[in-house]
Amino acid sequence: MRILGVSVEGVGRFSRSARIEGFHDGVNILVAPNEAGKSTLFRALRACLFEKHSSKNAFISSLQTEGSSLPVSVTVEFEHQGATYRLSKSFLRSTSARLYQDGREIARDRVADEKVLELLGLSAGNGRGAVDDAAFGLLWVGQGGSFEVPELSDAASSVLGAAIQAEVGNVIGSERARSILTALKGELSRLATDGGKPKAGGPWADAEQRKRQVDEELAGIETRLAALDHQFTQLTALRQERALLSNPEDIAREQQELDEAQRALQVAESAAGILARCEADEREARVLCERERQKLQQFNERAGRIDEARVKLKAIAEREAPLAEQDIAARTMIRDAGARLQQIEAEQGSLDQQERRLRAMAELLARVESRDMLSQRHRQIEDLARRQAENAAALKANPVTAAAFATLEQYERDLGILRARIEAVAPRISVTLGAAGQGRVRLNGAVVAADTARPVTEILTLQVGDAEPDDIAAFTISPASDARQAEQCQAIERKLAALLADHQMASAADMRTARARRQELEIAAKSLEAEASGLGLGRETAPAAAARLAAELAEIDREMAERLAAWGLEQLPSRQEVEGSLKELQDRRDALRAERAPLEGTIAARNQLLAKLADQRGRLQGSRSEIEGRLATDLALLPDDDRARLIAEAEQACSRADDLYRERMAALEAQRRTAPSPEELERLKIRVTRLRQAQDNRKARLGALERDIANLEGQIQSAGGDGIGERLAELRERRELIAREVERHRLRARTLQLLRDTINESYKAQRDRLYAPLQRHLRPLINDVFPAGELELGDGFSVSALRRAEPLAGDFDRLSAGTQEQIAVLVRLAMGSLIAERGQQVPIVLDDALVFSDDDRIERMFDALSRAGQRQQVIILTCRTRTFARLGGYPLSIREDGN
Amino acid sequence: MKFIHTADWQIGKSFRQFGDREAVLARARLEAIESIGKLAMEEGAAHVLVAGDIYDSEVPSRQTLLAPLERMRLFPAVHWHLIPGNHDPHRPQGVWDRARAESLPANVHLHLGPEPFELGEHAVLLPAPLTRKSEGGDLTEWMDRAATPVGRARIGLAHGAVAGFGSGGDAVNPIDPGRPQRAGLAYLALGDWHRTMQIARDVWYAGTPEPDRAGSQEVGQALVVELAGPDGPVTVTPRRIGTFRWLSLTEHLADEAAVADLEAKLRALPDLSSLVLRLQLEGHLPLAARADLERRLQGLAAILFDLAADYSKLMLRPTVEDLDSIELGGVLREAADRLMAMAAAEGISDEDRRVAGDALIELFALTRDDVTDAAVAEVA
Repeated sequence: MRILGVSVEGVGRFSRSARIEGFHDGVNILVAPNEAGKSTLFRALRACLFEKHSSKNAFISSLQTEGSSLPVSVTVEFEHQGATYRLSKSFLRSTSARLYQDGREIARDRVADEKVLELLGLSAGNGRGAVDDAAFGLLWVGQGGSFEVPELSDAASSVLGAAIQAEVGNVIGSERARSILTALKGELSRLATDGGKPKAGGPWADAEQRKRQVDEELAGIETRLAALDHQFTQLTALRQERALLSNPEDIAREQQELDEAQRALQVAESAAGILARCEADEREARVLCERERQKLQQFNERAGRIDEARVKLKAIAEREAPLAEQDIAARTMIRDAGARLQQIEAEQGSLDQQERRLRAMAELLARVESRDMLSQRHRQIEDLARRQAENAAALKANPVTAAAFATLEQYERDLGILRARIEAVAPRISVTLGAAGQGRVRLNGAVVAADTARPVTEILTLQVGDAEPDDIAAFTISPASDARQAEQCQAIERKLAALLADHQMASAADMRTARARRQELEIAAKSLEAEASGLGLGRETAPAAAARLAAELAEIDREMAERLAAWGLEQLPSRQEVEGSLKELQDRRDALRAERAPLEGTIAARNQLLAKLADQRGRLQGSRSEIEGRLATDLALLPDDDRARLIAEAEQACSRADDLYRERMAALEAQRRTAPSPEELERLKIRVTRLRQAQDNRKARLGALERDIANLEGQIQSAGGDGIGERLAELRERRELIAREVERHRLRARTLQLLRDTINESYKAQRDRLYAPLQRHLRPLINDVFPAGELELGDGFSVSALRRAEPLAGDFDRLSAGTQEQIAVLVRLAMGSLIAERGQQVPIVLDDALVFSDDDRIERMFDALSRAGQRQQVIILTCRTRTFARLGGYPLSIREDGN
Repeated sequence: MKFIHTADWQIGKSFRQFGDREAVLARARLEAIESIGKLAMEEGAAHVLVAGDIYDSEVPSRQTLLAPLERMRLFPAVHWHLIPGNHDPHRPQGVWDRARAESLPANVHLHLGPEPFELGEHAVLLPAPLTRKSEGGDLTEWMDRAATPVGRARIGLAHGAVAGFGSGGDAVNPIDPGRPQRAGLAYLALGDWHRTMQIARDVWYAGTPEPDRAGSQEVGQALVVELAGPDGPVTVTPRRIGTFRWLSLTEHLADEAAVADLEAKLRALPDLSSLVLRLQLEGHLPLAARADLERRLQGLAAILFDLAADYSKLMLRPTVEDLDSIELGGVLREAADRLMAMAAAEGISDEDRRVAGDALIELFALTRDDVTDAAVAEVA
């Protein structure tokens, strides 16, 4: 089918006749502004082709020109399968339908309605439903419809399917596959997760859970059984050990060994006791023998010491006699020298006293000599203090300080400047005295004695003539006054007067004089300070220094009076007298010192001799005392009279003790030969101890075994009676059953997953084959807009994804609205192309599409539209004049009557 | 002289795999004791020799401990001679000390040590009880030296594996096969091996009186032993005791007809309600036949005491009809083709192949349900 022309009247804004002109094969474009009626004409075209002329539904009613009483009239001219048709329909009023083929009417009214549907391969539906159920519904896209991917209705799918079937044959089984898949998924979802793991709450997971529970219980039972088994083994071992330890033969043999060992030990211990006694006797005899020998030796040694002591005492007495004589002589010499030394010391004491008095006089003489100098200095300082006081009083009486004088000079300078300024602008008066004028001219009453000239700064009276009242004339000159300067001048003058008054000065000249006087006083003060410094006063003031010196003079006078009174003199001797007395005194002292030295040497030598003698005598006395002490002791124990008898008795006792010792030594040796050795005795003791310990250990072990056996028996009885062996067997079997159940579920899940996946893969493979014809038409179009792109189609020709070389690829739903619209339009173009290829050419109509396409993308879309236009008629309605100017194609125009 | 030789009662054994029917099997094991007692009475045998493993565990519950003793008490004319086996070895304070602590029936004799015991006037019993689960030495050795009155038959009673025989028992516990000759035994009564087995002329394993596993004793038995004097010939007669029959079958299936034949064969077996059947299936089956097999076995399972079929070695060989019945073409057919290829593929694991086969069967079943549902909907 190819549209050749559309005419309307009483439709929308076209109350009068209007027509779209310029239709061709390929791309046609109707560019007109909004509200120009493009969409209305498109809707009228659809109404004419697919609506019954008698229809009064809302769609038809919406076409009518508002307020118009005319019918809705639409005429469509088209070419179809080589013939040219014209279809005219009037709706709502004076309804009619006429169908012409090649200029000849071939049907009218209802027949015409049905005939045109028949021509276009559409079944007569109920109203507009027929339109949407066919390829026209697929390819004629109204405003806003271009954004949606075509959803195929049964009829549209049938049209498309028929086209595909003609190429690839029928595809069957998809519904059954979907049904089976649903059932599989249902069972799988109960059994396993998407990841193939047991689904919580499902039978597989439940079996796993039961298996874990059984495993846990089984582990517990096995642990208990292992413990029980261990206890059985332990008990057997303990009982065997008890049987061994309880063997009567072993016990009897053990007792016999112990008895024999004890008897052997008893015999050995008896022999050892006799030996011990023999040894004690032998020790006793040996001690007695040694004691008697020692006693005899002591007697002999003592007799020797007595004789030796007597010889030593005699020698000491001989050495003591000369020492006593030397002692007496030395003591006499010391006493004589000492008496002379006492005399010398008494005289030296008197000499010392005299020397101290003479030196005190000499000292007092020196102080008296210094008193004159002190007195002179006192007078100088007193004079200085007086002059300083006078100068200070004069300074105090003269207040014209340097600052006050500077203020005065400043006032005078300011006043001079101001007066100079006043005078500079003041009139000047010059008086030149004539010959007769001398004395007759007065200025402010003062006679002008000579020619004069001066500025007039204040009212000036010039009187010429004789004295009053005979003046010839009186002139009063009043200068123009500068009030401000005059005021400043007066202010300074007031300050000046105040300054003079403050310093009690009558005039500035007085103040200058006073200032000169003060400067002199200040210089004098400096001079006095220099003088004080020259007297060495330092920081001490002159009056203070004068007072201090006066006190010192008084002290000297007082001291001299006291000393003279003490010495009983009326006046001091002369310095020569004093020094002569001191010389005499020193000579006498030297003579006494020369006499004293040999006396002291004699006394020291004799004292040293006495000490030496005393030491020698002391040592001799000590020796003698010691010898005498020992001698007395020895004689007490061994008197000379009994010496021989005592020594003879000791010799006899010693002989007896020797005999006894020899006798007992022989007895000891004899016992030693018969008694057991200590090692043997120890061995016998150890053996007895060991055998007793072994016996005790066996009894203790038997006791412990009895306790352990009873304990184990109790444990086994308590653990073995609850049938855990049967429980273990039962659990093992149950675990095996559950393990098999788990395995069955696992295999079942795998089976169902494999079946599901296989059906899905088969379904997809089938669908890919089904879509192959559409993809063949779609691929070049997609490539025009999305180079190297590929569109993935899902169920019902839906678009699931766009795969392209560009980075942004992915699910259709995630693409931008503009891209989605472009793809939707391309899919429609491909569908149209597919249908057209099968001889069922249907124009593609796009009303106000591609509004969101950018410049680059819309250029590519124009390429795709142009490609589609090569195979079928494409009609574009748009208001975007400038953008769509680059589309090319054939321009359509709306011609209205009267335009 | 006549006596009964039995062993491996293993009272207290668990049968959890049978779910609610566990108690039935447990009860059957106790009833087997009564059957043995009755057999002894019938045969005029005054002694029953039980060659170990009376209990399944050496720490049974008191109920389990008493249950066989009380059943033996029911036959006061019969003397029951028990020795511990590797499942219930005699250890201090163990199961046998506990049994002795109970009021042991007078006709029950526990032989807990290697001591001769006179069996009336004609024979002497030489027991070799186990005191450990696993014994490294031969406990029957003492029989060589055991002194017995002249003219009495010497009968050995032991539990373990005859060395060199490879009985496959639970423990090592070796027994010299030459023991009867060396010890002058008229008969050596053994336990441990659950299947009745003659090892030598006068050496027998009695087998269990009530089987507990597949691939072993098919029906429980006890041996009636008759001695014609100390050196005379020995006559041993196995007698059925057990209630349940444990049958293991391996069946090869190749087509639908084989499936039908199998069902017929199984239905022809005697005492189906007491049959415990372990069925190993091999071969290749079309999908439809495979589904048919399952359906038929489900029916059989309702008759048998227990049926467990192992399909792991039964391969799928889907036919064109199988695949067409899934779908002539389209998605499901393609999926079926893929799964079939995977089930026969090389280079993948057995499990992967099995999973692919199961998935194909699942698909087949689902499409059958689908078809059935559609048919039901159509009829409705």
